[in-house]
Amino acid sequence: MGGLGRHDARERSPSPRGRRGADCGYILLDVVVALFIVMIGFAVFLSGISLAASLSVRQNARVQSMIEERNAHAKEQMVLFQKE
Amino acid sequence: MRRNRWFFSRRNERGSTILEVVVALFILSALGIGAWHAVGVSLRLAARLKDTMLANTRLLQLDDRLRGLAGRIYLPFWAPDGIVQVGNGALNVPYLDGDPGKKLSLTFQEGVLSLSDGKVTTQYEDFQSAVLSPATDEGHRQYGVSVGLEGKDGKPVLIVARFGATPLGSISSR
Repeated sequence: MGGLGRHDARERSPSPRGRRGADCGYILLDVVVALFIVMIGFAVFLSGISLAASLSVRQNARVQSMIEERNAHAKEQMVLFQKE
Repeated sequence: MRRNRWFFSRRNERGSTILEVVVALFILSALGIGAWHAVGVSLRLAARLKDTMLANTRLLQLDDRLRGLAGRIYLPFWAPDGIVQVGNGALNVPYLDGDPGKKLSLTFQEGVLSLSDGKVTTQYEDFQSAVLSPATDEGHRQYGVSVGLEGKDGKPVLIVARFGATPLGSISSR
């Protein structure tokens, strides 16, 4: 992070204290932006995990219901066959 | 005054004091440890999710294969009622493709369930237990095979696959 406008602010500042204050402010801004980007990445990662978890739960329920449906269908077909 | 210089930076001095650096390092360490722990938990969760999804996929493949093989069993009308042979962790059903010499075989050993039609054997792993038995109706007539499975997560699953044909003797005896 180079710090946007850091040199401009340094040149525009009238006094050494003001220049140092401008430096601190922009460095702080850099740190905040870096932390923000890291937090966004982390949030994306966590939301991906969460999405995968919900998909897994839904897949699990779907597989169970499919097998139960097929079991019921097998028994139903057997009964129909024997009734004929 | 000397003590204050160690802990508080004066306005006109450049740089940070030891206390400021220590506090900053402490905060960064706490954040780093928290992030590391969260990433570890997330990675473990991701691995478990992957295992669950793979187990579900394997279960569906097993279901398809078992129903496909059981559907290829065509029992002739003279076949006896108790045609399914169960014992020693194995289940065998003759008359695969209507041939009394060919059979459907299911075996469960050391967490591995094997399905075989005599030519191709398919193995499905990661099961705690499996109960192999004939599927029967209310009149105790066998119409298929039943496989009760318990996965690694302890969740029970029951697969009931019917034969392609039921013995005519069973119908006529009704």
